[in-house]
Amino acid sequence: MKVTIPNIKISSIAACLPQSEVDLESFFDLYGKEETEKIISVTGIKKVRYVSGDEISSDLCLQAAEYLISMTNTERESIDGVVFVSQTRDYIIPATSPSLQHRLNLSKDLVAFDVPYGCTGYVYGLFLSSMLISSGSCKKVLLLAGDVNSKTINKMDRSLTMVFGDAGTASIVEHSTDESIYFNIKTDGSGYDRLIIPAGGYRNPSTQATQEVTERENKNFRSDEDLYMDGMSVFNFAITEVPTIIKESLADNHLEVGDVSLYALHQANELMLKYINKKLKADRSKVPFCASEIGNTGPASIPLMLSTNYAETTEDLSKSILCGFGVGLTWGTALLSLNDTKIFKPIIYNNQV
Amino acid sequence: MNNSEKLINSFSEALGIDASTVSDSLEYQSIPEWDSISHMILISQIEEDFEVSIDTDDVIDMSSVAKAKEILSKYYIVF
Repeated sequence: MKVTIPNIKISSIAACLPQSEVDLESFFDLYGKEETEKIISVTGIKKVRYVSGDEISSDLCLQAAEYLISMTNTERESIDGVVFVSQTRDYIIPATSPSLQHRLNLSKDLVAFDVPYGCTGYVYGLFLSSMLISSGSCKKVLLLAGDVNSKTINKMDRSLTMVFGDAGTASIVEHSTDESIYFNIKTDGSGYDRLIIPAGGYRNPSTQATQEVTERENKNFRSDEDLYMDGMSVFNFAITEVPTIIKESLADNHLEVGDVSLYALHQANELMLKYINKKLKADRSKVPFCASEIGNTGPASIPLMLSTNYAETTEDLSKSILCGFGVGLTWGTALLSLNDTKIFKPIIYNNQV
Repeated sequence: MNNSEKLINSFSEALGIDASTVSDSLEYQSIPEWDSISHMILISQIEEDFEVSIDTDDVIDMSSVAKAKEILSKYYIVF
């Protein structure tokens, strides 16, 4: 699916990180010093951020949103759409986005959607937000994207524990007189089981057996209610499909690889970005990796990267490509200008609020 | 050390296994030590030891020791 939606922009972005920082060297006892150091050197992830208390994705997104609303002097009444992108929502029923409307004290004249996507989620959420505005349904959409991955993984599954982190973000998407966003989104559901929590939903309801932690492939331990990732398949998928969709997106817009100001790729891990860029052949400085002290934060990773690296930047971001890829399997790009986007540095979650 | 010995050393180091267990027939996921994470460690180790930059497609194809030799020959490494 490809479309260019006219008169749309991301006007502002903020992010919220959990307080707790976990140095991955603390896993020496669990996985062994040598193995742990090797994993750190390959993924480029030295520390991850985990929520430490009862806080979950909507709490992190809520604080990012409050901060964004305050910093941009946005009238709450002017927000008439909420899109909440997360795989770690408050409840199975109801959706979380209505409660965020209430908790943020937003207008009742508002449409609210949950989008249960992971690493492609920000592109999906941006697409949905843009559609709401383009159709005339909304004037200003609050796009919230975050996950508490630490609650979905088993600490004895080193393939995930050493990579994933938690974060929440907030962006405001609204009408623009002169900007547009090109989207290119693809879906291949045959890979639904490459990244999956197999049980606890309605296909395989929770039972005592699905909660049992057992040894799985390659000395990893987890239950069927923990996240599983077929690492090699996901790696193959990413390094094959991501360069292809980016090149396709460039061709559609009559751009060369070198014309792009910023490749804001999902921050999976440093190695993944390295091999994607080996195919893309972009200037390495334009394909930043900034999750070395945060971890892979799923749908939050693209706005969090922008918040971490490009807050109040004077760099030209007029041709920025956002690219998400992962669970589903899904992948997608958004080509847009971020020159007029107010980007704020990440804040740390305040559990006293 | 010739290139075959060097490659055995790369596998042994990256996968944390005894050099005597590294043979041409050793395949990805045939032993618990060669999983997706250690595969990436292996690629980095080979790149460092042989001073090459392995193409993205070759990362996926390097599914056995024999295949590693075949791929490295593309980078003018002779076995």
